[in-house]
Amino acid sequence: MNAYLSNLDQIESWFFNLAEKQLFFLPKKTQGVNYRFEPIDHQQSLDLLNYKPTILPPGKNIFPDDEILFSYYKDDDGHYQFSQGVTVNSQLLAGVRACDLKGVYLLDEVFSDGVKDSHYLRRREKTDIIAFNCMTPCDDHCFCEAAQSLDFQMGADIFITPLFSTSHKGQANEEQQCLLEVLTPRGNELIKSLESTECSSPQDLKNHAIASRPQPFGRQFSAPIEQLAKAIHQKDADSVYQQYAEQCFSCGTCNLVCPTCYCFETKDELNLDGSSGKKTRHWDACLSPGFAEVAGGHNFRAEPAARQHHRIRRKFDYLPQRFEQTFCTGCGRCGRQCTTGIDIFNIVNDVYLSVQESQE
Amino acid sequence: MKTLSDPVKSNPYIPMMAEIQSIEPLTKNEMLFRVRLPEPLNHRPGQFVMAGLPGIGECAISISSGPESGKTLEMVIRKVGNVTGVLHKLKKHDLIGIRGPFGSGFELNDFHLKNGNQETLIKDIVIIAGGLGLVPLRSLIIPIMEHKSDFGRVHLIIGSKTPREALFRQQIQQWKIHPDCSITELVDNTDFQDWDGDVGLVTEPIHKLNIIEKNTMVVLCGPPVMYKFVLMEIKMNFNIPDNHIFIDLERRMRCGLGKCGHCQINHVYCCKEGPVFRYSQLTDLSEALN
Repeated sequence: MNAYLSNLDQIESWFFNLAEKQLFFLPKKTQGVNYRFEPIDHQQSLDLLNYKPTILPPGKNIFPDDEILFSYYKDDDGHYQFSQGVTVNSQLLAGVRACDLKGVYLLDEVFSDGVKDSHYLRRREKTDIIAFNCMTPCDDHCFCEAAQSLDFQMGADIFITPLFSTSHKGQANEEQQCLLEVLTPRGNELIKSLESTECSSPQDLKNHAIASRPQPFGRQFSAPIEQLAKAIHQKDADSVYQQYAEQCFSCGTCNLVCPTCYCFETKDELNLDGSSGKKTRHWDACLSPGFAEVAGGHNFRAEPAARQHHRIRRKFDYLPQRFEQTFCTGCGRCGRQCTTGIDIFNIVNDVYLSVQESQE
Repeated sequence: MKTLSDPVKSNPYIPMMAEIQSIEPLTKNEMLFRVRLPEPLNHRPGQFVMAGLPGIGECAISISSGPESGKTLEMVIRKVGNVTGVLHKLKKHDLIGIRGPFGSGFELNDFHLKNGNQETLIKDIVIIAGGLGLVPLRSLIIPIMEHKSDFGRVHLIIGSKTPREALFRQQIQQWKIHPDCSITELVDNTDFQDWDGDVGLVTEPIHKLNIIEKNTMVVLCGPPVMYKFVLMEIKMNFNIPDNHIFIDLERRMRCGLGKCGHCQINHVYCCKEGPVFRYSQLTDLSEALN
């Protein structure tokens, strides 16, 4: 596919231009320090280079909470009539980081596996993604390089790499050249409205930009992720899970902000007329106490340690067995948002170290 | 990504609406629902459906009828919560929503006496049911009884808490007529009721089983606490390979499609790969029998 060069000024006006034609989401700083994917507005100065990961990952725009699975009404003969419930509008997610791109890619895998999840896939079909490469780790929580999601670009329609140092401020926007790689036919359509020049040697430029990144990039595990995953698979380091479980409030925040958590609860809702209603699905959290409870009250994961253990193995062992990918993207959200500072990075590292220790 | 077909038809969450033909109270809290589906379910023994009402909710319910029941579906629903509470108020001719069948279920071939006209395979089938565990296993027992000559000896051990909770007693009497079929019915205690069966736990008759170990299939279903003790008893008395022991597990199913995560046992989705497992599949799953 083709590649183009453009500068930040041009990209900004391109974004405003695209936003007039379709629902356009971009990370926006909210009150305080956090960012959220929100519809772009014209007063906004775009903060494409240094924004920290949003509270919720952009994949949640494709897998929204309270999704209507179907709606129904009972007709005059008492027969149930079902319909899909909602029409899905097209949307564009811009400024998606590589870690979140990998999150979306993994959700694509999950929801196309086995019985296809038409609700997710329909939204995904109507979602365009313009991704933005990272030149510096976003903060102390990031470990995307260690989680092998830095430079991940599958699933993006256009992938933008800044060709200048993003840590030096004060450069005029027009000097800030960016490389735009078009990865899909949809991306080809989108880029038509951008003022740009075609680039003949994109790989050299990209390699050069990547080489100027800090090394190592963000936090690094004590061993390569494959070895960590192996340790997590082989041995149940109960004492490590127990230690972290003792700090855990079982609130489930880590699940809700995770780009690869997709467990859900379904809910049937009856309208006041008593003869119509809908079925919706809601994000659920395997860390919450009742997640594995069955009728009659037996709970298959009653202990917080069992739930921590489940979460870690799901990311590093269970789902990778099925999809051959680690389901942690290194975005750092769970650690960043946890009330008591529990960080998945520390848990997996400690599990690995405890397994190493026990083998010595 | 492929373009999806008609949204409503490809929507796996929309149930088919079945008409209730009869509702028969079995115990204080359990009712047998017999419903007529718009199309045959074509299920295997041991599979389950999601049953419920749009706007109210749905629950995973074991299929209790045999695989040849066509458009008729039988299931036993115990009143435990809001949804089952509403289902218990339904009447004949009311509609009930059904999705499924889901899960792996049993393969009847695994239990046959002969494979074609070749060597003899399974000479003894041991089925141990505790409480509501009889409900899903009934979908396996029915086809075995209907085609009894294709199967070897059948040993049923059926346990209930008290005589009040004992299920399908009339049908069990009919099963007893079949040749080579021994049935032990037990209650934990008689609770001052009339009872013509034994008193004790389902583990107690196990050591008395007269079976050819290497040609035996064992099937278990009951409350979570039952499995450990029954397996211990079997292992202590007999040398039956792990892949000849089937266990029908219970988990919290929500979607039935292997997505929502509630029924996960380690890396396995109970609603997809289960709820029927061979014991050999479970020995590596630390969460399976806890």
